[in-house]
Amino acid sequence: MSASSIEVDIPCDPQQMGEFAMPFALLSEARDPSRIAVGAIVITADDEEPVFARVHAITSQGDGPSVVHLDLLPGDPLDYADALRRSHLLPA
Amino acid sequence: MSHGQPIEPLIRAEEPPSDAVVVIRGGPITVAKIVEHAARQQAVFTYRGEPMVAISVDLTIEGWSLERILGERMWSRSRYSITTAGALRSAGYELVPTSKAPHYSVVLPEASARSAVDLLAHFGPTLVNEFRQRRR
Repeated sequence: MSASSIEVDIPCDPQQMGEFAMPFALLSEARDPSRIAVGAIVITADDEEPVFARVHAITSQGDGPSVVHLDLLPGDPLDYADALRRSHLLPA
Repeated sequence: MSHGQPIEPLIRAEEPPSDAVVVIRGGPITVAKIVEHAARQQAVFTYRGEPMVAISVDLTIEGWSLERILGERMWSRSRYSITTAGALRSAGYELVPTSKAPHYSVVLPEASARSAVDLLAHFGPTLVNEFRQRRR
């Protein structure tokens, strides 16, 4: 899996903190904004080191952009994939 | 007056960090990422009534050792780079304690490659995060 083939759902800086003390992203930068909803599980950060996150909230102020607040889920996404295969939730 | 969310309510009231405090920036340590992240901050927040061009860093302030920051804040980052609060301040950068400790914002003049290059010149070499939770 090369970085060039990875496409995150919505990019963010995992170090950046906004109003919920969690990373945030711009809805306009999502690959498919219709997939970004509160509670959704998404791939975020960047194509070099993607991470899972749950969408915590989507906010906007006045005519400002829609801001997606992301609760990062721990661990490497590949660990989740391994667990899914072990449990036969995904084919091996 | 610019549109956007004022950062001021998210600024912590605390003493400025001493010059020796370590400033950590998680990877990828690239000009492109600095510009991207500064532009995102600019799109969302204002500071002193103007768009806030800034990137996020973490500081080794009280209770936050470098090891703790790398393990708890940078767990998803394989690489990082460091400088000191004194080095950034001496170069004219403002460090703003925003959101939750140990997070700070480094205010940049603009979200441009030139600004990013200038900022990164004050950081040391890219280092490997031995506390990362990644396979590669």
